[in-house]
Amino acid sequence: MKQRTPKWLLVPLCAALLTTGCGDDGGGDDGASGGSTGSATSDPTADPTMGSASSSSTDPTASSSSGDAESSSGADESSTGGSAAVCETDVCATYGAAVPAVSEAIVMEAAADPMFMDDFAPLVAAGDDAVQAFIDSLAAFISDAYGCTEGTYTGPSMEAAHTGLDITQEEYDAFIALIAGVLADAGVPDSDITACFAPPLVDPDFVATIVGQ
Amino acid sequence: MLGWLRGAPGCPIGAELDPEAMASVRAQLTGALADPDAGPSGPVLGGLRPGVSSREDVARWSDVQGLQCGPLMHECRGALFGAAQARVSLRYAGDRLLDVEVSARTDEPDAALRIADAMGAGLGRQADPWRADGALGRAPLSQRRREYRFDDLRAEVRATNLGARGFLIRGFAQSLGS
Repeated sequence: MKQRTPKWLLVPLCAALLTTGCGDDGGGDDGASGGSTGSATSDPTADPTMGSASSSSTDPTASSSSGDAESSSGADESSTGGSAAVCETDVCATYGAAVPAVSEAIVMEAAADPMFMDDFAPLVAAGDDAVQAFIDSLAAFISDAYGCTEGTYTGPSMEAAHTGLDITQEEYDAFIALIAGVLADAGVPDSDITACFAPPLVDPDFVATIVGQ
Repeated sequence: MLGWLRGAPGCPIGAELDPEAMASVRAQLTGALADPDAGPSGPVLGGLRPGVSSREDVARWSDVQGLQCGPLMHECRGALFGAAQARVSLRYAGDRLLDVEVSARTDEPDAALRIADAMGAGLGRQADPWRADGALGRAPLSQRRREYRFDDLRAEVRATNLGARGFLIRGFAQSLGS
């Protein structure tokens, strides 16, 4: 059974690769057209505008017992209960420069993950330049999505990119968990992961635009 | 357009590699993940050997574990690690098992930690983690992670808070090399 790359990542990145000349023939149709603005920020549910309150008020643990978490690594337990965390960090100023490195980490970790390896293997087989082009496209996508840049990514909108792809919840959740680990490895504090990066990724309305479409 | 993009010339994501090329890439991606000082891992999950076990071995294992599996032994479901409905995914090169992945979900953080502990013991063979970090809490995307490395296998268990979707506990044991 072939495991598939999360297609919410796959299609816009493929479009971006084609526009950047990835491949033998320079990509032909740039793939970035499609009647959309091409920016993830056009999707209000996918745009974690910095400084805004978290859209996530879906804390499943709000009613859980007090013995909830270990703190072996100094996890931030300030985001507890049912109140939504507020991103108080200037995400772009604080983390913008790290986007390329984070993008690379996401790609390399996904490529080595059993769930995603089959789909990333052809990219790895295509060589270092192809992998770097992919990473660069992902960085552009992330940068635009978090409002740090505008128009750097020119792929399809999130809605357009996901319709008809039948992404499973399993795939989506595993990829989000992977991203969470990459952010932690990059030194992003737990508070910022929760308040600044998590909200769009765990928002049910946003997830519904990707999973099962 | 979307169907054309996937696998289109210039877009390698999702394309197919022949088995030899796939094995080469796999060796490239996983070779650096070995811990040669740790020695071989031995069986995981009470009897599976990624990199060695056959589909028949997996079928026998699933019977012992009381799991329900598909005919090709790619996916099994049943109670594991204290989770009522764990999902087991298995990947092969021909008849040889490469990786086994287990996932479970719960709405309770304490249960998530118990499942993660049991999964870690089952996949990591009671070894000391190569890496242990994070903490699972009430905050969305809080995550506890344990990774185990051997000279022939890498295992990892992550328990992640997915907000409204509760807690995902996902682990895998991945054979290393081709």
